[in-house]
Amino acid sequence: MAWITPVKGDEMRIRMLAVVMATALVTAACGGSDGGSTAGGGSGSSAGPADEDAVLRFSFGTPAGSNYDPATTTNQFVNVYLYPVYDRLVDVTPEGELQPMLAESWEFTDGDRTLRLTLREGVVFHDGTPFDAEAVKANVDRAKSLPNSSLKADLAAVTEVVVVDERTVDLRLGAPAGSLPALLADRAGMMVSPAAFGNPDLDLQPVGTGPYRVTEHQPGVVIRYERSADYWAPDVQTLGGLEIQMQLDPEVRLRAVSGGQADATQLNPDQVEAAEGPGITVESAPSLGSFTLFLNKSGPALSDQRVREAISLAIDRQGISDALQAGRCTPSTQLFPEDYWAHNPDIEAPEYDPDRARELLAEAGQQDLALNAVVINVPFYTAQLEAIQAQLAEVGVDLTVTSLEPTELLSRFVGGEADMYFSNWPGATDPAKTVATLLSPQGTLNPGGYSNPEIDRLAVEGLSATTQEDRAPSYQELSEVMVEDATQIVVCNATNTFVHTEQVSGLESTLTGLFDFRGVTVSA
Amino acid sequence: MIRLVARRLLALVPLVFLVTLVVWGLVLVIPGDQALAIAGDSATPEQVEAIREDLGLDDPVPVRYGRWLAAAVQGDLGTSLYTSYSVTDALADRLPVTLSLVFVSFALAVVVGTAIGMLAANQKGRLTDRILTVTTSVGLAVPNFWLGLLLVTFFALKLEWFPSGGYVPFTEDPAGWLRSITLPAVTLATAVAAELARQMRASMSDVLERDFIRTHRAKGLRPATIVRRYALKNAAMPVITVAGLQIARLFGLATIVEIIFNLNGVGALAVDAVFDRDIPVIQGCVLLITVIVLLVNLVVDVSYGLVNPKVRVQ
Repeated sequence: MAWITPVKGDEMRIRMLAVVMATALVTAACGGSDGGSTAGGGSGSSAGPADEDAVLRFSFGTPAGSNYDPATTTNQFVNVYLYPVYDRLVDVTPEGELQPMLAESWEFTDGDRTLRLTLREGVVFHDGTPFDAEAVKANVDRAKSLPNSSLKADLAAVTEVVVVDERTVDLRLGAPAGSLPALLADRAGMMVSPAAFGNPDLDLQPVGTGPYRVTEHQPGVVIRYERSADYWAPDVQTLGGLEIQMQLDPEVRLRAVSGGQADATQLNPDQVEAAEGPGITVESAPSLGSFTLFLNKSGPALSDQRVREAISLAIDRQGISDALQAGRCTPSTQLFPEDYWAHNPDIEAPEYDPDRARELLAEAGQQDLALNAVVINVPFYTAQLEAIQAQLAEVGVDLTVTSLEPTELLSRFVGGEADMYFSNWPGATDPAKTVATLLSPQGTLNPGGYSNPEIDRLAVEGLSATTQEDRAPSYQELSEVMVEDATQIVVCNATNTFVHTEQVSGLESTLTGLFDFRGVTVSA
Repeated sequence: MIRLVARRLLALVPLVFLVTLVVWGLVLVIPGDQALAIAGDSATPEQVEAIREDLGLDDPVPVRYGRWLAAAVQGDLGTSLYTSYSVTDALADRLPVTLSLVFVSFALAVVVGTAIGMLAANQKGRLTDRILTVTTSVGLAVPNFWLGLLLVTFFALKLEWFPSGGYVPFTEDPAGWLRSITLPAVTLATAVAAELARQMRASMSDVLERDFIRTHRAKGLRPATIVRRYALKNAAMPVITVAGLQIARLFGLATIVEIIFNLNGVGALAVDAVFDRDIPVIQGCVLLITVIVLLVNLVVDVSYGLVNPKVRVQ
């Protein structure tokens, strides 16, 4: 059961939500281009020949916690800073196809109780340590044993790592682990030099095998990389260096690109009009992200499916997309967007039916319902929740909106103090991860401990198969159950909006809505 | 003179001590559990307890304060809660930006403000005075975040004379440094210049009406000489007081300007730290800025002595 060639036509969009952080200030979206994929594809660019020594200056919306140790960081946007330094065992294209990276191939053996990886030869860490099976074992063991590791859940199915020979390593599995190869295309598969494990500043000065190495890092301000020597895939090492500037304010980021202080940045969809101008290319990429109302389904009202469905019917999704997202958000009730392999094509488009919503609320005896919702204190997000607030008022639901800082936000919802939490669910590297976070009784974003035996059954089924083809039916069915039971209220499937100058080409949104600079070029 | 400086410096010691108490006390006031924040949501209670012990959070409050103070005196303000970034390094990285911004703004405000004030006082009641008074009123009233955006729109995006943000270190490229600091400094200096101009106008026009000025004039001294040699020294006292207070204000306002212009100074660091509840960094920023403001006040006190012999005698 080789996993090298994924099912054609399936789009696997994977996103790793490092569970702790809620939406930071970036518009999240998805995608996922990495090594392997070649340059080009930056549509609309009319760039000249690439300058091999050029430094790409990218402005990003969050320092993502400034902890750049893949095993301990908890931020969902951190991969932007990790990709240049760290190669992963497995790569994933923006369409979701798994591809070889540090592992040349992988297969489930021993009745799916072992995942055997065959490693690339001749790869060396930036500090000179050779990359081999021992290094993989050291990394997985570290991620499983560090007290503050954030990868324990991803690697929970792995019971033991066995070095077979220098190039072959077996991951022994104690539970169904169909999602594991996809998770190895994320932080869990990032290989840190074992010789650097003890570095006290490993979080600030990462040491990997990637195309670029860190030369300077001023936390919260800027990180600079230079091309690393003797990289094993020179065709994607297309820049002389890389500078990532950290800037929370999307207006300032846009100005930096217009004013020539940065070459590219990510924006909110509502900035598209302002961004259009001479020499600037605006890109919109499909995304695994969904603007979503997460629900605490333990309250007296929201434990009733009729109330949840009524709220869903009362939301004018197209109106919100048009007015606040420049129409760049596709109305949907499904978390998994169209073209993604877990998407269920048979589910109907969402309806906007306030009359039916009122009827359902009356049936449930909740005509005078008062609820409260929390949202991050970023205008792009608060405006959307306020629109929902107004629409819910139409059907007699009195929604109180509280906007909060990121640190306070999630603890308020997870702690059970808020009925709802509005955010952009960024997706995860594998749908199994989305399901675990949102719907398992211990899931971080399932504060009421909602459980549904049908969902639990399908979740296990989805992990038990090992190919995308075999797993897809379980997740599509799961998607249907989620919509029917209104386990969360999806408003629309997001797009990833970003801009770059004409000199930049090959910049793509990754599967998880972030950016990997492999294959990106800057012309002279 | 030296005794005056020494006396003031000594007086700073208990003040700084008091400041450290307040700054450190922030830990107790800010809600939230540091250990929980570090451990993350997926941590077990045992892990949280281990982190708590590691940080010494179970020790009595005076012990924790003593430990922090002992390290702080040696220049060690701890490390960020979330990374291995030392607070002292963070401040050292950011301080040059804030100092450049504040001192360039201050110099600009003093030169422009006093010049306008003196001109207005000399022309008191005439059209020039009226125009300048209206101008300074507008300067005082304009919110600096708005002014900053206007300046960026015209001088950075339309005319492309200056970058729209970012900081270039002086040591790297002095011309680039000046270009990067100009718009933020103008933004920050406007309100302060207006304040100083009004102060200077009032003070100068008061002095110009005094008897000794009339005597000088009767002696046939040129008006410019009178202003420069006699009136300015007398008029400067209240202006210096106000200017000293303005420096403290500049450090506060700089935070907003730093954010508008994407300058990564101490203010921007403090804002990020507050969002992240990164308490050691917040403490470091507050302590640093407070000490700077105290030192500035000392310099202002001493400069009284230079300008006004009466203070030296006290």
